[in-house]
Amino acid sequence: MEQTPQSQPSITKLLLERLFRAPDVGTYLRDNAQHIEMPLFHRFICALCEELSLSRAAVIARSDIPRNYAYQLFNGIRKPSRDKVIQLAFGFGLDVESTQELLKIARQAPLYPKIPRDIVLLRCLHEKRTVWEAQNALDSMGLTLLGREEKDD
Amino acid sequence: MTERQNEPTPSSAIVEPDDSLPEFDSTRYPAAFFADYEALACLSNNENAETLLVVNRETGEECLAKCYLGESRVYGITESALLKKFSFPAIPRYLADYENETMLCVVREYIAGLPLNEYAAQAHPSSAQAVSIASQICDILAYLHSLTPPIIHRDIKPQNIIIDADDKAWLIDFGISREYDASAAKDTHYFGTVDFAPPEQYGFSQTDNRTDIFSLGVLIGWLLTGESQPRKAMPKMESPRLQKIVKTCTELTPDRRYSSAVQVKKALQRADGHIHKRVVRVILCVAALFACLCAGYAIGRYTDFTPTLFAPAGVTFEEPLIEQAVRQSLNLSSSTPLSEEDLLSVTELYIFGNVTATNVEAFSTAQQQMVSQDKSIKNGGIRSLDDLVKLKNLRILHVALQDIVDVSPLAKLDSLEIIDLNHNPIENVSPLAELYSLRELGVFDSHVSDFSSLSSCPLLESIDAGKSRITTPRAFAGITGLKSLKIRQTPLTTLDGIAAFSSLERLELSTVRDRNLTPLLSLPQLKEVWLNEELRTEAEQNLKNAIFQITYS
Repeated sequence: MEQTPQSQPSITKLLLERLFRAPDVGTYLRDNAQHIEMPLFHRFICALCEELSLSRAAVIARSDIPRNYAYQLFNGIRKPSRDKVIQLAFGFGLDVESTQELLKIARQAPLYPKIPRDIVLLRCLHEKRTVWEAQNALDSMGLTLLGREEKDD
Repeated sequence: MTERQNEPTPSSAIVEPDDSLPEFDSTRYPAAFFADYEALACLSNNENAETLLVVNRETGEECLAKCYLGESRVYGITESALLKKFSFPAIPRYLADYENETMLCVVREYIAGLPLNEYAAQAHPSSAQAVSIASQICDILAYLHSLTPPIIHRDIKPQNIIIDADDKAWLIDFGISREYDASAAKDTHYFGTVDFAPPEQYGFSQTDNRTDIFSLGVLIGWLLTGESQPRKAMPKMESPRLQKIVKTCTELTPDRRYSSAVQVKKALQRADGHIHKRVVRVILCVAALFACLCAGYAIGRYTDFTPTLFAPAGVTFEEPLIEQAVRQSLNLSSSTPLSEEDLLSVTELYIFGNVTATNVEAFSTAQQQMVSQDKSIKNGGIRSLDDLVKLKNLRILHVALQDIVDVSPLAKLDSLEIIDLNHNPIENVSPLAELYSLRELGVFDSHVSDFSSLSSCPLLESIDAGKSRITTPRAFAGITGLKSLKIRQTPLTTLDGIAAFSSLERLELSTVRDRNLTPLLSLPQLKEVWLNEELRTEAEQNLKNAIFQITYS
């Protein structure tokens, strides 16, 4: 059985700081967002697996992404949609802040606390729910489930 | 891929991990908005507006909603009013708007793609790609400036141009286009409204379409060099022609700029390699002609032979029927010499078989006579369209029921808006691809099997390809602005691919080999469809829920 990751504030930020070798990565990213190459998403999630001592298989199993598709994300063959990034965040057991960072690295819109679907997802991430609990919560409120049929699938 | 707007994403979008996570405030948004759409993501937001990716609960279509708050609602009203007015394949379609006391939500077509600034950073477009993108923006501006009254975007910049998966450029953000947002730090930082806006936009004089031309010039320089200041961009540009285009577009005095986006597009095309080669060919032809003239002069000078070339005469025609139609149009008898100046006033020409007419009504009468099998209407026998090159201002051309195969002379007539070449054995329409103004094309009863080369005609909205050789809607690939399509009596095998023509309003077809009519349901604007009686059963089964009208014949 894989070890469940402990909640660590902004693990993604720590990792980014190491990848960029910048002391204040937040300011650096904000000021240079258009000019710098963000770390390739697949390289970042591979590094995150090592950082959290998690196997890819465990992350994939907990993200509820079809296995072949998920390995293609880890290999950089596919670019992830926003929903897939959020599912991976559940797979990694990330907190809200780290999930927002992960979305930023994937160049996807952050979760927005004023629209119903994102509010449900924010609450589930905050409460360390599983992806299936999040799907149930979305379903019970008549909201679109994660991983719906997407144009880039 | 994500379409984004140019507002910065605030840090407030990141929720702190505490126990006070917000609840949804349903009173913020108009109730009917969330009844019709579900919000999937917020693509950008600031204190004045939110841009939401939404999905239509009934159709599942992804759309984009811009929600304006407080005083910024005036921009929403402008955007909504303008989008309703537009009908152009590179401007997102207006869908709906919703309003309550605090918010106005304008819903429009969602363009999956990247803003040009992000696209350029990732794709590093080549010079040819940059020219292609700039040419597409010229097409959009030409459309906007041709409206009555003309619409001046006033905010042409990379953040307001979306490049989709097919490398097609779309223009967005019409709400804030008339006002600059001084608080938009990102604009200043990445493109710079100071660099980008012409002097008249600071109140030195009234803005007109040349305001957009200035910004277009800055954009071209930026695309080619990454510099948003023309004086820095120009020295870095390899092509002197492109350098001159940027210089002319960004002249401080509007009178010294190009006067229209069409002119800029033509200059870009000339700067492009193909056009350059063609100019060289024309120069060589003129030189050869001059040499022949000199030889002719020498023969005449030293012999008693006087070639008719030097005889004083008016313009002559290769095709008598074309000459007859031109004289009829000018109301000149056959004995009066025609000057080149006379020919410039010919804007419309009507020939049906062996009958010439002066207007569309008389032309239609001849057409009806043929339909009613009047034996007096015969093939006119015109083989060459070379004579038409002299009619430089021709806008409307009907030359039906002839023996025309080659349409390449028409490529030189860039004012042509309507071309009717029905009942001619034409095989290839690609020479018409550079006709910017072309709106309607008729090649009923021809040998044409592919029209996709006409995707470069931005205003083309009507094609009659009846009795041609097309077998699939993909023969019209890329002509996304089509509103009317006639494909009766064609060997059509399938309607698959017709969904790409989302602007289509009228469709005439006889039959389709696979008898599957369901692709028609994917056309949101379709209002009228003509079908053969033999397809009535399939239509009644498959198109029960269609909102368009079906006529059987």
